[in-house]
Amino acid sequence: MSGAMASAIAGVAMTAFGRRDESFVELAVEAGRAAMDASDAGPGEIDAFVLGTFAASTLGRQGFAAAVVADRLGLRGIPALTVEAACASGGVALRQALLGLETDSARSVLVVGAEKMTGSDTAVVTEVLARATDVGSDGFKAGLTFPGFFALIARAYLAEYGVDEAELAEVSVKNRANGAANPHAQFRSAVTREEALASRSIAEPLRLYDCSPISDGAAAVVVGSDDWVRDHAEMPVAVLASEQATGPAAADRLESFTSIPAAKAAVRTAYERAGLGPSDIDVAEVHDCFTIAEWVALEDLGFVEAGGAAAATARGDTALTGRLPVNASGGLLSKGHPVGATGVAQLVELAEQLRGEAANQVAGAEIGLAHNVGGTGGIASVTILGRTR
Amino acid sequence: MTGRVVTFTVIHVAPAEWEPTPYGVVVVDGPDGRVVARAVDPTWLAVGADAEVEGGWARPAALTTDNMLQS
Repeated sequence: MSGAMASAIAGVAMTAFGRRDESFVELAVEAGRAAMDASDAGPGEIDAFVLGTFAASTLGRQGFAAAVVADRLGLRGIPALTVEAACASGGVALRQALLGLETDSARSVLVVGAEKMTGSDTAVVTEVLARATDVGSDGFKAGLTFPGFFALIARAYLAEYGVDEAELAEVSVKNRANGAANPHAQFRSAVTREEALASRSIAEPLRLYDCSPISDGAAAVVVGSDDWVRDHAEMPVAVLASEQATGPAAADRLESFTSIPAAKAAVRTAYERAGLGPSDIDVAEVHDCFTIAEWVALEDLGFVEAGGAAAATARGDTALTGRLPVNASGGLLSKGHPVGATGVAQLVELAEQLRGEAANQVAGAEIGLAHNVGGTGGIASVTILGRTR
Repeated sequence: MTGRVVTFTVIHVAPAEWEPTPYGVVVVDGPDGRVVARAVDPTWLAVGADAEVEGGWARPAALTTDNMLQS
């Protein structure tokens, strides 16, 4: 995005994540309406609607989702579209909204991310998610699940850098402790290192507590031009950069199993746009769909050197009181991972952090970064937000 | 083709209709590029082990104590 500070976030909202009785549409409407209320904006004041979701028409059993949610919200006579980028759907949805603002075709856009996953059994969910890759690839044909894919990354990482697999548990322990204080989190109980290491194996070396859960939920933000948001928020949150990049969409096309190229490309451009670097970030929400994914993210985003994430975690650098708190919300591991909602929920957490309203408030947070990855890294998005006063 | 195992996993939880589990998924870095394959016997898997791939299945090029991991 060009023109830093030209766009900002007004109201934000999210549903509780977890096993919910509500339908896909009901969850999306709950979050969307709450974000509009938080922006003191009625349906007539929203110029466009973007919905991020991966599996609305399969797991959510709702096709034509953007039109249906817009209709339920009373959003009439405006553009509405669904954005699908697997688990990065939410982050990419925000970027599409910002592009609309940048072209002056809208002054305000409602962005909702939503997913309904628990209505299907685990085998079905696993297969639907596994299709977020090139289904013609050898990996898919070999039966590679996403826990399996991230297990491949974990095994390669541990071998490359000589890290004991037991160290992965520290990520789960940290994020579960953070999530315990988050009223929206699916898991609100801490786990010990011993409990994590004793949990059942899912895909070696990943165990149950290394994996994010199957979740329902929705999150929403209202973004607008700077002048529109000043009239709709006491404390606007500036959008300093929102970038997206593509990468290998199949496991066997990765040149390295210790990095996600799309994330590196997206963050490089985001730092350039914002005129910032890794050391400027005060708080980060990264895509910890599995414990190993947080380590890879820390390195791809330039927060630590390659191979340094395990030691940084062990030192407490990424803890709430550390040098760079990561996943203060509890992350996907604790907060839950309704895949289309995840990228938007990261923005909700960062906006609350920058306003000083977060459940696990990071003292003095002024710049926040969100990192959202889809599939095997076929798409990644990075958003940088800034406190305005 | 022959190559070298660059990473592997043994998947314990997968849709039941796919394949009996556990089975290994191995990425072999060989002369024809990367290939993801199932492993004939997951117990031999090790990063750096030599492997052969045929028909989507990988097996050790030479089964030695160095490249065997007894689970």
